[in-house]
Amino acid sequence: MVLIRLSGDRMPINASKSSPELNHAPSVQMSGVAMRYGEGPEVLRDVDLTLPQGEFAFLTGPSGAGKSSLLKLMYLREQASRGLISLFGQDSAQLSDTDRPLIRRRIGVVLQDFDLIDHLSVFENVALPLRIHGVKRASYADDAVEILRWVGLGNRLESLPPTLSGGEKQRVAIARAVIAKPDLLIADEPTGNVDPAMGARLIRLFEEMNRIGTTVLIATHDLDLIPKGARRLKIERGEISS
Amino acid sequence: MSETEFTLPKPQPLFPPHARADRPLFIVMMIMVFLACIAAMGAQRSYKAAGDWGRGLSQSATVQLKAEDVAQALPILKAQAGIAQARVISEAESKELLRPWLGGAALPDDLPVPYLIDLRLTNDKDFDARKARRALEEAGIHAVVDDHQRWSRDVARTARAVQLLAMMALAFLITAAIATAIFATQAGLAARKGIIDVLTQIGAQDRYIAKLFTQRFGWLGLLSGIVGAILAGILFVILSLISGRGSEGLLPRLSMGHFDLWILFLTPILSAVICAISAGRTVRRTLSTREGKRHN
Repeated sequence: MVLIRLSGDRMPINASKSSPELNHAPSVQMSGVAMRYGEGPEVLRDVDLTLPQGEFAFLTGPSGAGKSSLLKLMYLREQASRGLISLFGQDSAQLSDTDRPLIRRRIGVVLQDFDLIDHLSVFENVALPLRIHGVKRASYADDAVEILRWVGLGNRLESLPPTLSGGEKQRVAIARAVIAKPDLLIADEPTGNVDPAMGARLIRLFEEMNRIGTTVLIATHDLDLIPKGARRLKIERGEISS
Repeated sequence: MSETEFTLPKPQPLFPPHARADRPLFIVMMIMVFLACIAAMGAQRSYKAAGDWGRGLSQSATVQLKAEDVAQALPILKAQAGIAQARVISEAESKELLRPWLGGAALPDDLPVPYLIDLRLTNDKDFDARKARRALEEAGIHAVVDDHQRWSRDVARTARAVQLLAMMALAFLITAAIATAIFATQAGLAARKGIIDVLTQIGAQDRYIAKLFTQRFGWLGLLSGIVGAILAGILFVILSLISGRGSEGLLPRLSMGHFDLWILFLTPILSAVICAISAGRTVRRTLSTREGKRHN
């Protein structure tokens, strides 16, 4: 296993991606996409967006602009009311019950409400994606521990989520999102609950993920977080502007 | 702690091991298994008793006649087809048979108690009661020959009715168990929605989630089945102890046989299979419908 070192610390990201399905299709392609919840008004309108493989982009916009809704479409939590969404070259509306989980496995997600399983330890929460993929415990244990050390939770392996602070839960969620080395990483306000130093460290983790080929999209309010030269997508009243 | 040395936490089940939402299923399945065991063992016992009575009746016949005719009738009866043994029931034995009906007081000497000849049959199809009666009449003997056919038909009919009732009871119990397991699975899905959403989000296939439910509910079905079967076994032992006292041979004496042990052994397994299959199918159907609604 080739491990990356950064600033003297060992990065928990394997330098070679495991997915054999890399092709040249964009990670995300949206065309004329609109979305509404139930019978409510459209929260997204005429979204045209392409995230090529290896892109590192930030999504900004005021609260209620539609950032989270746009991300939900990308990680298949919701379906567009019209338009076309293609993930890794596959039309998301045409995915079968068998294919949909396979696409989801290629997407790491960090949500604002963390979505951790309360009765599982921090270690088990982080290892969950590998566990459900059938990876043996002995094989993923090192990776899970290393990534937890990287996010500063090496001493909380056996802690349960209800005993963690908001920032710690966020770091567990990030560790879980990256452990399976996804092709697309979607993060909704991933540094909202951590101090600036940890925020910078997490952004470095995302950059490192991006360096090995992961497409990264981060939704944030914090414009200071966005490195110079990074692609920035602005969303306002459900419409995208680059 | 070095970089490569750490204490690996113990693996934890993806569903909390003690879920309050699953308790009703445990209790209901336990009661159903208890009832199923009692129904099956009771039906088997009744059916076996009816069979024993029926066999006893069909393999014997009784001849009632006057005392002075006994000596002449005996060789005539022995000459009939299908007779294995013909035995004169003594006066003392006849009086003993009448005791339950007439009480323990001494019977008057002038009471005309008929003599009985007990016939043991080799094969009830060979013996013909009417032919035997005609043979006795030709010898000038007036006798009543009873081959018990009316009784054995009643007993056989009763046995079939008991068997049918038991099968219907079992069918209803199995149907109710399946419905209960489906209902409990839906409640379990609702109670674990948060966990299922996480598993779905990280790419778990429906069959993976269904397998978690299959294992959980199968195990629950087995445990509740074992408790229900043990309770049924205890009740059966108590009833067999009670039935051993003063039943005068009218009711079958209860005792635990191989068949009962098989029922007690197999019913919890059936309970586990019902719970596991019902849960797995319900989860897959529910998840598929949910995804369908979300993506259609």
